[in-house]
Amino acid sequence: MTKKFLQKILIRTALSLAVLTIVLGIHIYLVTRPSSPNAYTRAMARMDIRTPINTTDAAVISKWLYQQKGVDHVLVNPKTAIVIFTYYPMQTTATVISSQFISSLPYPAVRFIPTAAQMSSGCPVAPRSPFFKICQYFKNL
Amino acid sequence: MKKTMFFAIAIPAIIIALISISCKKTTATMKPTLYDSLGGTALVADPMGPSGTMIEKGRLLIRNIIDSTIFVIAGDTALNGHFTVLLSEVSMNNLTGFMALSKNLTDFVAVGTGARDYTYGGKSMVAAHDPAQNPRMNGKADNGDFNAFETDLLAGAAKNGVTTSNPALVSVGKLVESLRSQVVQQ
Repeated sequence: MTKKFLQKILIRTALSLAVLTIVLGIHIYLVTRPSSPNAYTRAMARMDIRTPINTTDAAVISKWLYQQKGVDHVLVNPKTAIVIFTYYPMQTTATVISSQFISSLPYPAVRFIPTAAQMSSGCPVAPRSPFFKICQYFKNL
Repeated sequence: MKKTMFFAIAIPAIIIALISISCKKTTATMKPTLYDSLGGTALVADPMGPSGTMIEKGRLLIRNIIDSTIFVIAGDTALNGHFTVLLSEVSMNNLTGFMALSKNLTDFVAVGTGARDYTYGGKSMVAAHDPAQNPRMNGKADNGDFNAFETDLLAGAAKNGVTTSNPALVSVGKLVESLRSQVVQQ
């Protein structure tokens, strides 16, 4: 009788744990699953100006970029001749902005696109905790 | 039989009690943290989220400074080699590196300044900057890299109206400086 009762409790506990684990897995997946860009997603892009620029040029470039649809924030570094901007991918793309920039302004520019090698050797603050790995596992199911 | 019943009731009860104790918020008066001086837990509207989204004031200021710093770093040839992931393409099922890095750094600084409502899930500063432990680190950082980072952080803060004389920024600066020995590994 006691053995049977104990067996029952063990089976029910194991079943409960299994159900809870599945529910937790589903919850983690739903919360952390990769999502498509939405209206609030922002992406960053970079253009390199292939000629020296000064602060006046930087102001002209900055003003022009802010006038483009979907551009969120702009920074032009006149020392390095690098243009950084964020944009809303649901409204525009970096390719559209950079090609319009090249055709509209008298600055020789090229959009910087990192190579796979550069991408794999940057950004030291990438989450790699055990919890992150569990989330990644469920994300990639 | 009685023993079994006792364990069947007692064990879940103990687990629930332990969880309740660990999750219980301390009601005792706590010393104000650096996070409190940056705005603290007061909720304000999030300008970057859907209408109605709220964000803690302290986190919003930290996020603004971090985002500005990321811009400054991305345009700074002394450091931008470490952050090319920011410029990754956004496509279906691939959110931009900019938002991920912004969140990670904001979490890290928020937790470091004493925020209690957020957690940082990344590596320790030593592990994150050690190429042997973090293959994404393309070389050991030196004092020059760290100085450049601090300069960019101040520039990012200045873009948000936080000047170098601001006591909160001075405290954040001290916090960042205390990480030098963990980040600089050559």
